[in-house]
Amino acid sequence: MTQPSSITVIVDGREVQVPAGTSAIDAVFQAGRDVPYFCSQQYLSPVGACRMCLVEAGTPRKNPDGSWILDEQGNKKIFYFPKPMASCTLGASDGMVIKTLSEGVKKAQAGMMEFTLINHPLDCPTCDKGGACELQDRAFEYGYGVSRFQFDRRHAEKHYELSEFVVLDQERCIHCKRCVRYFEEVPNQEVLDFIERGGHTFIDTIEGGLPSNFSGNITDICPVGALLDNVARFRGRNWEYDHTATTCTACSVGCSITVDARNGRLERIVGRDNPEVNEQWLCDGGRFGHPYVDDGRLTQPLIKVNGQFRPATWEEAIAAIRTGLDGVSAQQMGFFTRADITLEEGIALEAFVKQVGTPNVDHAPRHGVVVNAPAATLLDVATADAIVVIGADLSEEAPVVDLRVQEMLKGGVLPLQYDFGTAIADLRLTERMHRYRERLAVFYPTTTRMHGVADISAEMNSIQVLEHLSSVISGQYAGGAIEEAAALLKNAKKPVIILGSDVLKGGQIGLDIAAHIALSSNAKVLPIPADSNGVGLSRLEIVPQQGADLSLLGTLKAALVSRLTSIPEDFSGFLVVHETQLTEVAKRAHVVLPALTNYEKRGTTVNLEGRLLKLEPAAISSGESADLITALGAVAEALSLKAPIRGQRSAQKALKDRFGVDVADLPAQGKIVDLGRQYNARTSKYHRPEVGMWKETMLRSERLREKLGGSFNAAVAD
Amino acid sequence: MRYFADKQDVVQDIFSRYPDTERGRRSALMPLLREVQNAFGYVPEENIEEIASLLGNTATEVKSVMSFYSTYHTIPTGKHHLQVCATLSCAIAGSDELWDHLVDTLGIQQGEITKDGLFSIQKVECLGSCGTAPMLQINDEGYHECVSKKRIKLLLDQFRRGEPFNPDILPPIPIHAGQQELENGLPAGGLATTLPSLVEGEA
Ligand code: SF4
Ligand code: SF4
Ligand code: FES
Ligand code: FES
Repeated sequence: MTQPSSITVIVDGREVQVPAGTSAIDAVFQAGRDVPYFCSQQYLSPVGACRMCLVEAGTPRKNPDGSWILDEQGNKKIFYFPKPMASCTLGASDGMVIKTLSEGVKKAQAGMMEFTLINHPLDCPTCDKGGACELQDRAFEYGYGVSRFQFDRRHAEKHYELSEFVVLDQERCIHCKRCVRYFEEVPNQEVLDFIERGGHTFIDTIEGGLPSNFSGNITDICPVGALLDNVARFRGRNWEYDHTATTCTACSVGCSITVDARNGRLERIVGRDNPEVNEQWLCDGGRFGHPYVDDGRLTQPLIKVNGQFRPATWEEAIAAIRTGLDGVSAQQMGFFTRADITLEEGIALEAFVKQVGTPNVDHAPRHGVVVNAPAATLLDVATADAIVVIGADLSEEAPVVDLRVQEMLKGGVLPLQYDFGTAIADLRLTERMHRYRERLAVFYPTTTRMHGVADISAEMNSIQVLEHLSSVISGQYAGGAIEEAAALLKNAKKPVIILGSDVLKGGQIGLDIAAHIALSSNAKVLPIPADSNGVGLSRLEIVPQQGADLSLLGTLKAALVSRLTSIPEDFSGFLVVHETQLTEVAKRAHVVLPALTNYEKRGTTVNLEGRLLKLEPAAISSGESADLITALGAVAEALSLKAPIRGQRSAQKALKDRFGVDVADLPAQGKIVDLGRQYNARTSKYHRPEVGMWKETMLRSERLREKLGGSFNAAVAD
Repeated sequence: MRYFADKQDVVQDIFSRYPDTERGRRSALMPLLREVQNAFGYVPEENIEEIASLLGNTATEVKSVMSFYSTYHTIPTGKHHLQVCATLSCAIAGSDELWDHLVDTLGIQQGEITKDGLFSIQKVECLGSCGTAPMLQINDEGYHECVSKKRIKLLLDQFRRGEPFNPDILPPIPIHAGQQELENGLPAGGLATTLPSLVEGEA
């Protein structure tokens, strides 16, 4: 970004340099001062609805001859605005003087607070937001502390379900309009609005509920307890939660999240600011899909005796594994894991199978393919001037990428970053911004949500799209949407091609064509991996080069399977399953080892951009559950081996030796690192990725299935 | 019921007044609502959706704009919709009593219609006729000023017999066929063609 020219603003006597175009409120925060605000939100347009951010402000003026007008002392005379100004919608100008501490400002802010509280029910003791409420905090800091209002307060619906996942308490709403603006500006769905006006105003939708995929975000940004997460409602007070900053691994985007646990149970997930990945947004799957974590969890190993499972200690489990593996040669053993494990677990697996001397190792689901073209980041997507989506139902496969594309449609204006963080009120963001629909082309066999926002779109088989596109790029004529998409790519300066499962499942051919298209049009490419750590794990030798992949499991005599949702029916050997619940696969096991979910692990995951992101363990009690490193350690012990990687420390060291990156020292927003060579292998039906936002694992929870209604199945690529 | 299905000319006419862009088209919201309300006396739910689809936006948004104005009704109104001013001057001059009297004589509350379908009542804010308080407006047809119980009786009786009852004054700016008119029938603000252009060099 070219640095815009800078201006000087004087806040409470302190001079501060800010880029031209900065809002007064951002200048105030940049100067290290504070004003209360409710309606402004970093990624939404400033609208000046709440009037809490009042300041006194003035500017110097010039005489007709161009000289500054001076006061008696010969200083530049400051002409103050006649009234307190809302600093969020006031642009700072060079030489502007802002006062945030004067008596006038204090009175104006306290007066506004009194208005805001007139109709507020003040039911903090029973409000989920209590203790983490902007209104509560600001009322304490800036209010009068007493109310002069002696009449009946407004009464309205207190448990109004906008959807199964979001409940509205109409009495608590302070009409800041964040939620209304969110839906129009971020997912581009105008489904929520003010109904009635004045004291009667309430938020509602008459579209028959909130649309799915991105509705939960309004519960994060509501500054009061009006919009609440209906999965976490009444499950804990904010100060009782253990907050853990970690990363969502429900898909390959890797959104930054905070996991809130209470008494050892995971109760809530909220979005965490990461301007480079998810800004502050999450998809509904990532946010509400967690109840399975506490549903029927295995907390200790199980051993099958006479066809029945009995609880056991790890020592007994190891002994049972030793017996089971007795007489099985390394060539007859296999190790198979789900592809959402951490990089640490991955490298431990790689080292372990080398030590054991078996070629039978695999992670699933995965796409066995490599795209030989420059990789796009999510910021590239948000700031592209042309995007062609091929074979991806983005809102389902990698939901937050959808939101970054929506940002591109608005012209790719990203809020400026200041020392204090993301701009609170970037004045370039406005309501109902123009959408450059002509910059987006979408191809998928069926209609997706993205078809509705793109000017260029077609329901087409992905390979066909690639072939036609490639021939147009090479000078032939195909007509229709393809022709338009090719022209779009050709005329763009920063084009990005996004490839989804419908392309990737087809193998290398499609990818080679895609690479050809990308290279001929100077486009960057963003392929969506089959599982959350697909990119990281593809850099490790944990795919079968000569050995058995998952579909050949039946040819083996013994196997360890970690959290896979399906394995071949014909396997009849000795089976150790590492799982969080007693699934259909686990029921077939001889020994079940209890597994940690990714919310309980420490480690590193690599998102679709190749960004290394940290996982931190939330305070969830899961008994004797352990990660894959420990599970492999148990197998090693059963084989009388000493596993080469036995913990975090040794895994981190191995990663450092291997990739030259210190994963113990990653910045908060993660870091894109070139992990080098990619290992490739053929795929089978066991590698079909889940392409729906709701994952099979999440749907183990009865509570979640109830909310989704009826029989809900996770979508798997065909 | 789709109201505009057979009224393409009306729709075309309304859209022709606004820029033919995604955002420009949204401005047609108000006149479209007005068309429906004039036809039915209120805007039914299904027509909110119809208008939304004509404009290419959501029903929620149409409802939001509509609910801003007390002049759009979401529930049916009587043939004669009595709008009683309840703001300060009228309140001092007895609009509360006038309201209670209407409620008693008609046997309805706000939001209801008399059994014969003739009357409905609504409290509204100042209509700018404070000097002749208390006052009420009937439909869009005009003001009845300094209203007494006696005058109410005359008025209701005459309406019940199906006879016209002339208002004291017409509303300040009546609208006919989309054009605001003065009392003398001339277009309010003059005709666009008789005004000098703001753009230099253009006639
Ligand atoms: S519900 Fe919350 S976010 Fe929405 S307008 Fe009310 S206070 Fe603001
Ligand atoms: S988009 Fe992916 S990473 Fe982000 S919250 Fe949803 S599932 Fe998690
Ligand atoms: S008016 Fe709400 S933050 Fe400025
Ligand atoms: S107060 Fe009734 S018309 Fe003004």
